[in-house]
Amino acid sequence: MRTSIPLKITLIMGFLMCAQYFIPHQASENFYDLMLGWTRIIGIFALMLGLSSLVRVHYRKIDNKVKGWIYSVVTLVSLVITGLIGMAGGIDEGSLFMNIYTFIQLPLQATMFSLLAFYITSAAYRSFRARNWHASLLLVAGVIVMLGRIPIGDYMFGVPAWLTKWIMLIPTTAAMRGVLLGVGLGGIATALKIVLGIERSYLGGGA
Amino acid sequence: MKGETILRNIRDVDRRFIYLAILLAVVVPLVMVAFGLNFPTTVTPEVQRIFDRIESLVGDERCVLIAMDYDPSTQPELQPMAKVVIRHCMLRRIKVIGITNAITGIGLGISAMTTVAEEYGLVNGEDWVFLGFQTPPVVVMLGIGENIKDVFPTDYYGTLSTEIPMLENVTDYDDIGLLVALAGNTLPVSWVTYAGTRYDVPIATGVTAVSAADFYPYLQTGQFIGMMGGIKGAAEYEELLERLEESLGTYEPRMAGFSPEERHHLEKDRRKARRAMNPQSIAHIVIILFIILGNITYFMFDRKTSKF
Repeated sequence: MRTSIPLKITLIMGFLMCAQYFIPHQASENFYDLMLGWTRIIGIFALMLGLSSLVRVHYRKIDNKVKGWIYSVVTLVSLVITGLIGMAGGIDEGSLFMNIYTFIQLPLQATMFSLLAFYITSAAYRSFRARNWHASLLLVAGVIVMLGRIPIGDYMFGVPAWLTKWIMLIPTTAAMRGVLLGVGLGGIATALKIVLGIERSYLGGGA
Repeated sequence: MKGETILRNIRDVDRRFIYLAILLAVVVPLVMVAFGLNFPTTVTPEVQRIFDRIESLVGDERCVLIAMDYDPSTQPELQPMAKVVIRHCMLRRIKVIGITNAITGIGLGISAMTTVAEEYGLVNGEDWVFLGFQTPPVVVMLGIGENIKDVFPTDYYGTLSTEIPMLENVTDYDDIGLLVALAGNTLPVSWVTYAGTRYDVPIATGVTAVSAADFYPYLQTGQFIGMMGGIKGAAEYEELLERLEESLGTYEPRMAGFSPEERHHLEKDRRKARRAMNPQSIAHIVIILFIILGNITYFMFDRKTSKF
């Protein structure tokens, strides 16, 4: 029962949604609108599920005193305090909620991402080696694109913009298109497997 | 022997020296901006096409929809893009609708819109509107194709969409002249899949430099009419907008309405992406130098001993 009903819903809705795309009729449009509304509602529940999952995971970490449990305390306290401040004081520009966002969350997240520059440089120095002709090709292409992405590349090093553009538009696009075709075909196959009930991992463990 | 020691020291350089070099490569050019260091910006066709598309909407009833689907981690690259596109629309009195599919991007979206609207003295609800966040993204993308007011029943401030004057004549993608999808993830591709393919709305994108390669196939097929790649893309757009404002002669009269402090702040904001090109340029060169250095040690020392 726990698996058969979701499987039947998936099968019926999968075929109905696929069919409605090709039926230019008002009834089909109405069905589509109805489904969009339902998806929105389910999306909100998914958000709530995510929130409860976050609380559960961190509560368990605190309860079991696992390594770094103090960070879980910070997460939960921040979650509650920020939520309460937003609900009590509003979320307009200049409110405490927005100040928390602007002066705490924004610089923290930007800093985390900025650290990439340091790690990339260190990793590039230690591992970006011309070991064989494949690696050499990658190295040369990488350096050309890096120079082409900055204004002085052309002026100081004579790396013409067309060369960077050529690398991005021809070999890179060709490779990316191959990857995308593979991903697309894989996506279609997975969708079919889900609709037909062959792929059941989304139902959870044991399904 | 001495040469070998030097090579060994270079090869085994403490990573903290590398971090320090990158730190200096970023900080020094930022400081040098104050002394007038500015690298020239050349405009690429993919950025020019976005600019031209927005110019073609002047006098058109249709709006520009900006999906600010990024969060604070990628905002240094994407927020200047959002601001410069909004600035262009507001300068040309093209109505702008802002939305976001990133819950942590709500603050960035509203900040970008209010900052630029204040600069141009435009009114929320009449000239621009920020509809905020809705989930899930696919439903937002498909739902706008049916009725934007159903997807966003209220704007960010809680005003009913049906009561917002600017949205009176806006129903679906037919009323959108250009959709600008700004994101540090693959959401621009979803916009192509669900909005571009199904509803035939023109889409431009702005993405982080590191992810730009993923989007070139869509640019080549015309599914994106244009693309801003990283901070360079934003800098190119800033350059185009500055040229436009100079040719229109509206910049100085408008700036005269601001105090010197406000003007200084605004001018800094208007050049944010171009100022960021300085550290990026130097950082790229430093990284390349490190790569070359690493390869020198590899060929002259490590390859023989096969230590790596």
